[in-house]
Amino acid sequence: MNPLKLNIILFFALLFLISCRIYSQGEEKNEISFNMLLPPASPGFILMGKEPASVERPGSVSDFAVSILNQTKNFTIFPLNYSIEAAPYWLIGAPNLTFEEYSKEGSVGDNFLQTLSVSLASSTEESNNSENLSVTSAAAGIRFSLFRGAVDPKFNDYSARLDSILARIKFINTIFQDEIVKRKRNDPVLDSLKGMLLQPDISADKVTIIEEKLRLRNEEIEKEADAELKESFKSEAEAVRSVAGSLQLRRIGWKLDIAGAVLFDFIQQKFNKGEFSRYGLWLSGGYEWTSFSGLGVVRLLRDPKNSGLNSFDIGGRIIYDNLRKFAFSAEGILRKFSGPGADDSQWRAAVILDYYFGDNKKISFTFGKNFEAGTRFSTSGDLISAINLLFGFGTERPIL
Amino acid sequence: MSTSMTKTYQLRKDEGEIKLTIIIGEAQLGVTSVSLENDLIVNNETGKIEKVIGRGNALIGKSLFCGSTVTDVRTETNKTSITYRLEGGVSTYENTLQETVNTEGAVIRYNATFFFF
Repeated sequence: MNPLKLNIILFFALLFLISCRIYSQGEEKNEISFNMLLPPASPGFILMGKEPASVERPGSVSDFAVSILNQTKNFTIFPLNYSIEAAPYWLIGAPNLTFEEYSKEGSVGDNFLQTLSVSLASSTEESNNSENLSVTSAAAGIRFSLFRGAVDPKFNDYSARLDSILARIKFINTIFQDEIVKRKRNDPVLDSLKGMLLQPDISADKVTIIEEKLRLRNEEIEKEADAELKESFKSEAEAVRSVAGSLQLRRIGWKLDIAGAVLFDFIQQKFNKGEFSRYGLWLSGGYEWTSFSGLGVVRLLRDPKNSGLNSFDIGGRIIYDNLRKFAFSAEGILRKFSGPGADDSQWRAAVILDYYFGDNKKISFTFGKNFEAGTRFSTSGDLISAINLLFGFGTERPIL
Repeated sequence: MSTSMTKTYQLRKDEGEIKLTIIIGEAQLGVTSVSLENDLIVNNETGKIEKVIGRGNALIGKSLFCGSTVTDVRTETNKTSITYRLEGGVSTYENTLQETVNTEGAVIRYNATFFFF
């Protein structure tokens, strides 16, 4: 079979399996939970001109996320653009960060640490001629938030859902506390070991031995309590999981993200033909209400491969996301050039439809006009017709 | 279903206060209860708990049981953790227990028992 056809079949098989999963999720939970706080697409896609939205929405991070971007071309090609993104803070772990501290509007330093993400992106432009001038671009990016707003307690009944979860985990905690304390009370083995600890001038070695015996007896008692309360725990934990799985945290207020990326091009997909191509730095932010968002971006891109050509972007985006599983947005960006051989200004306009099909997963469809075709910053045609699949793995089990 | 630890803690046998700190980390939602022998001294409190549990010479021979129930509510991670710190004795003790859950919203139990001598 032609490898291209095989790839296309595999791609649609993937979409089919995802669809099956969506259906089965709906049956299990009677509600498809969704999360609008997925990280924006990798900063590297901006330099490649492959971004689903040029004015990115400041978002939450996942400790690990994957984007698969498909310039559809009438679905005749397999996706050639990928990125992976990781958040070091969450990968390393945050044992001192409490739920309460996380939920409030953090300091700039806290926001930076908690939202810092690094990413790698790859994009391949296949050649359409016999010279095989295909180019694979690889980018490294970084992004973080300085301001990210405060949790909206009303959004999707966030506070009520939290109260419901808290009531249930308090119930679980109480029955276990009572049962374990009751079983440990007057336990002859524990009492005997505790008495041994009080021997005068007890050696460190003996303390270690007694501690190990205490541990073993403690675990026996706790396992007995687990077995006794297994059914109660199971039903309450299932109820908690049902509510927590659909819990949707949304931050509202002023937001400001900083992102940057560097791009390397590999002509004919050969490593030794790699060259430093572009780099850029940008700020995106604005104000987000519960249903509406007004965002803007200012971006500086530099193209050292082309005699140091610079471009300056300024743009805006409005988002309406009170459509249950959908968010609709429109954006417009003006690009001005400076430096040797600067072209006239260019513009991009696009509409973006995001569909949230599960916890931490979404599909974005973007349609519009990109910056002009064949320019230094846009190597493909100026029609944008792209599907972006974004998966956050940090909180989600495998979907297939 | 549960993660457990047991630790002996040597006191200085004086009037010094023994302070317990418990932190449910990774920004996860959880509650903790603490029983000193049979007395419930902390009842289903959330987040960070800082509590003076008594004076050294009054705690000799007693045990402290800390039971916590945590649920994964974070989009950023599936990790859960709990840190225990005891201060005021011969030395400061600190330990973090950590578990990663497989399912969004999963509930996990943490048990910690301290024996004072």
